Amino acid sequence: MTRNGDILIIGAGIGGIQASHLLSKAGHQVHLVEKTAHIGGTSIKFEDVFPNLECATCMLSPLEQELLQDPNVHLLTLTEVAGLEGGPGDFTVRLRQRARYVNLENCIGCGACYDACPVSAINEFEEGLSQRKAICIPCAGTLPNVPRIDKEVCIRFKGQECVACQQACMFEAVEYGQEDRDIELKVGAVLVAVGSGTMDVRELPHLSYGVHPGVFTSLELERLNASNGPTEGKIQLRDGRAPNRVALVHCVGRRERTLCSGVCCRYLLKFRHYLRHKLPCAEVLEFHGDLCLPNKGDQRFLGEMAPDGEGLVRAEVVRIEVEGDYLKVIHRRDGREAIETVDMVVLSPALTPPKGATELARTLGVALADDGFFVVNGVASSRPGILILGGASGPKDIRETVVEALAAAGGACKAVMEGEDGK
Amino acid sequence: MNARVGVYVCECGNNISDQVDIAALVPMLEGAPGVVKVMSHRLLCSKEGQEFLAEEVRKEGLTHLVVAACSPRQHLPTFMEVCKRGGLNPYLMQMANIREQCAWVTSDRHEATEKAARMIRAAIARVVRQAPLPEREVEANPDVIIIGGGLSGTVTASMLAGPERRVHVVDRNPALAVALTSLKGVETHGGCEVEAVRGFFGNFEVELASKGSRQEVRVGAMVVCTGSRAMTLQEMGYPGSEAPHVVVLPQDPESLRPYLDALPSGQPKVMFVHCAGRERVGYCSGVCCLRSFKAMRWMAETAPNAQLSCLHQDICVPGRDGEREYQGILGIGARMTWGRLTALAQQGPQVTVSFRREDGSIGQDAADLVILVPATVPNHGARALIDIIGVEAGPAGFVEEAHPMLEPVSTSVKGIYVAGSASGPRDGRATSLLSLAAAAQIAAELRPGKTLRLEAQTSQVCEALCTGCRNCMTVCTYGAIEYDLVAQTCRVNETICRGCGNCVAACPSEAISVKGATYQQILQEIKEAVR
Ligand SMILES: Cc1cc2nc3c(=O)[nH]c(=O)nc-3n(C[C@H](O)[C@H](O)[C@H](O)COP(=O)(O)OP(=O)(O)OC[C@H]3O[C@@H](n4cnc5c(N)ncnc54)[C@H](O)[C@@H]3O)c2cc1C
Ligand SMILES: Cc1cc2nc3c(=O)[nH]c(=O)nc-3n(C[C@H](O)[C@H](O)[C@H](O)COP(=O)(O)OP(=O)(O)OC[C@H]3O[C@@H](n4cnc5c(N)ncnc54)[C@H](O)[C@@H]3O)c2cc1C
Ligand code: SF4
Ligand code: SF4
Ligand code: SF4
Ligand code: SF4
Ligand code: SF4
Repeated sequence: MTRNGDILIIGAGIGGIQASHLLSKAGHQVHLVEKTAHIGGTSIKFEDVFPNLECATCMLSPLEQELLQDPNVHLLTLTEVAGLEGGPGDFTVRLRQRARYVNLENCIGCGACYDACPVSAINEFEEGLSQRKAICIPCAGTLPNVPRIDKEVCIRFKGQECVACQQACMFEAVEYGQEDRDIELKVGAVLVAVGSGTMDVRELPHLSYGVHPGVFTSLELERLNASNGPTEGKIQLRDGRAPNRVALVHCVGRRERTLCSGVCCRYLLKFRHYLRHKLPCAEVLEFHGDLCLPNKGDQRFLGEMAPDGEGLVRAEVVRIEVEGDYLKVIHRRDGREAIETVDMVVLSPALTPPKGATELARTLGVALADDGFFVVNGVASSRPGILILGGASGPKDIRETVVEALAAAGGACKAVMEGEDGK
Repeated sequence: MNARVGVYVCECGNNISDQVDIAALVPMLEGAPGVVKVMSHRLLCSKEGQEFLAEEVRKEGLTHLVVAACSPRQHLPTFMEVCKRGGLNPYLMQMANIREQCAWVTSDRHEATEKAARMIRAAIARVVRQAPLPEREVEANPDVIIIGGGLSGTVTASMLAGPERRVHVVDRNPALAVALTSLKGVETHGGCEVEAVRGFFGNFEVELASKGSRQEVRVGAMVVCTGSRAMTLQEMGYPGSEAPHVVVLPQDPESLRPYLDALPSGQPKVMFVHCAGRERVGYCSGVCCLRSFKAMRWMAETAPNAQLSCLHQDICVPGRDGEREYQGILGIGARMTWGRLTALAQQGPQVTVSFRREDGSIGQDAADLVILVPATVPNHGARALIDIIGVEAGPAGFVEEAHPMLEPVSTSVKGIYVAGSASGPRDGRATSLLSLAAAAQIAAELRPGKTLRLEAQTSQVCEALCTGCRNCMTVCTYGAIEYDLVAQTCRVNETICRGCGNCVAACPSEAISVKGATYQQILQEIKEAVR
């Protein structure tokens, strides 16, 4: 049997991107399948990344640009896997690609069409903190820099006579006639790089998320701090006021999920850095239990972000109560309950299995563990020729994700060469 | 031959032309020295635009090309490809970024047009002083040497060895695991250490020494797999740690059996003390909480009558298994106390353990057996090896990764990789993953039968100006600069140089320049911009 050297990668976050680069270098053709209209995954939502507080865009954008220009990487956005048959060296995959309604070749990303669009909808990429148009990119800087029409909200697809975006486009890039496509590919191995999700904090009603506008999730804070985000980097309350006293709450959902997510201690310290720069006068209280700082440089990072333990409160948050504009953080410290009043609360929800993991696992014929993450042995899934990397098999930071991406890329090459006997 | 410079201004749809008056701009550029043609185009990066440009280069017999358009970040590779198609050396093309750096950030149209003209004239002044640069390649040896034949060395070797690639494994320990010695395509060198390394990625010469004999191995890449070790009692330096009933947690808890057998009958107290040595090393090893919990579970099963307690700092159990193991330990009733170990003392049959609580107060406890969970530190001899091979070390003495996130198995030296716990404390899973990652990266970057592409824009030393001060050598992190003892000047090894320009800035005699960014070029470029 001749073995197919092409590799399918599902998910274009940092894991999928780095695996693509390595496989391309190794001479393989890569089909990179991404559910959304853009690449980069979760990490492109951050302004800076721990541990070095490096600018995330500066770190990721050259990798993304390189990917888009790589002839060995065939990127399929708005695409999901519909079926898979075969084995290592000889898989057949069926893909479903939703129409973008914008021609990827013609569009230069000038943005004229979004200004023209009359529709306004909630921007999910911005965690609902801003509005977007029906034709748009999620935020400045996402790649490919080509908008898509969201059929769910575009009035034209609801029967009205709108051609505003097409008329605004000087490059004949808007194509209402595009259709969803079924694609069939032959590949030798499959990499699953679909990342993690985050727990819905509404499951924990005692924390008042959604009840009081001063309670935010960590991803919301990332977007508030992002210079390409809804407030252009201003950390502010939902009514536009700057907070004076901010509570950062660790380990949200840790007990419920029996899982330390491993990244939140460090990103909350990163938030101290954000807050210090954006709101130098605001007081920050960090309610924490065990601090999980497992890497060589993390202790130094703690020292820099919380010198002499400044702002660190070792206490369990019992509940958060609303008091007018303010929030009362009721916490248990050394066995006694105490209260701190703040005007902003940031929760660090546990990382969870990615959305749609169950269906994806069924489609691919691989096993999920009882906690909902993919079962792995190293990076090998339960089915030969399919490898799992990054947040899909448990919470990871970027570093761990990249290590697994390289390891899985190597595993894929082996699977292609050796077929089912390859371990 | 006289320069024939072509200048092509992209309107970028209306992205540039909205803000820059193209009709006014074009005549401002005509007549600049060497310029034979100035033309605007609606969208140069489009397929049609690229074909047009390649044809222009050919038709006009251009010797240099200026593309005034967007950021080179976006389209430098595109226009370099266009040059190749038009038969022009791609290094004879210069981009002027009149979109991001001009049209998008200049509100006044007149000012923007003037600014664009200056930027383009500057680019012309620079490109005419540019020489063609060849694309260079070297033959590469696909063989790999792995230093250290433990877990990471074995995994890396088994992934890399094959009919087209020989793998050498060196270990200072003469007895190497059978798993390694029986691998096909692997040559083991037990009882050997690395003495010296010469060369560069693709062509390293590694000198090995064992008792009395020497040997040279030629390889294309190296992997550091020298592991780590547990900190010793002496290194931790706790007062009273020589007490007989104090022991460091061994790799395999089974080795604790003799201590268990010596425990008094009844309900002996066994205490696990986390983070031993942590203050001295300055980091949390990240792997030992879980290791300790597993050992505690083993203890609870092996010595069910023992009363288990645990003196710990913040518990660090990231990931899927850790929290469950932690809850399991709480479930078996181990007594948990937060505290930093300060001193130990054997008092009669028991050991008194003194510790400091987070509020600074001092606490004490006693146990029949105290098991210290040690910090992980770099292996013996790590520093010497790091110096020999020339990679960078982090503050703790582990091998430093080239980038903490994106290049976790590369080092500061191209072609030298690191895997396993040589770059930091790791558990078995992380060790294996890093080893698979290193093997994959080498397999992709050093492919049997393929040549390696070299950087075209390297630096060069003008020997007449070089005073031999060797400042440049200290700043070149790639080790690309050699000192010629006879000529008493420095020389750049162009196979290693990556054109970063550090040495240019460091040279007080202005003797070094990077090709494509010489002093003359930059000076003339600036002159045109501010004229
Ligand atoms: C608030 C917060 C802050 C953080 N800060 C840091 C930090 O500072 N430093 C750090 O190292 N780590 C940080 N992390 C962790 C970091 O986000 C993850 O390590 C990283 O995103 C994991 O990368 P990934 O490629 O596995 O997944 P992701 O980045 O999540 O990418 C997964 C991709 O797969 C796509 N996808 C999902 N399902 C499918 C499907 N069925 N079909 C096709 N495509 C699919 C998604 O759309 C997405 O593009 C942070 C995490 C959070 C929540
Ligand atoms: C005390 C302790 C307990 C552990 N317990 C567990 C556990 O329970 N579970 C788990 O998953 N992980 C555990 N680990 C981690 C696990 O042992 C490591 O992840 C793994 O062994 C690391 O593999 P390695 O290849 O990096 O290093 P090693 O396996 O230690 O191999 C290093 C090799 O390099 C050789 N070497 C060193 N220096 C040189 C030199 N200069 N020249 C030539 N050769 C050299 C050594 O002789 C050795 O053979 C433990 C680690 C320690 C320190
Ligand atoms: S057709 Fe749809 S996307 Fe385009 S402008 Fe109208 S509503 Fe917006
Ligand atoms: S579709 Fe047209 S108007 Fe919209 S961004 Fe692309 S090129 Fe511009
Ligand atoms: S990483 Fe920190 S905040 Fe997150 S669950 Fe673990 S201990 Fe809690
Ligand atoms: S025992 Fe736990 S907290 Fe202490 S150094 Fe080890 S992993 Fe870190
Ligand atoms: S340009 Fe950079 S890599 Fe080249 S010799 Fe100078 S310092 Fe070294």
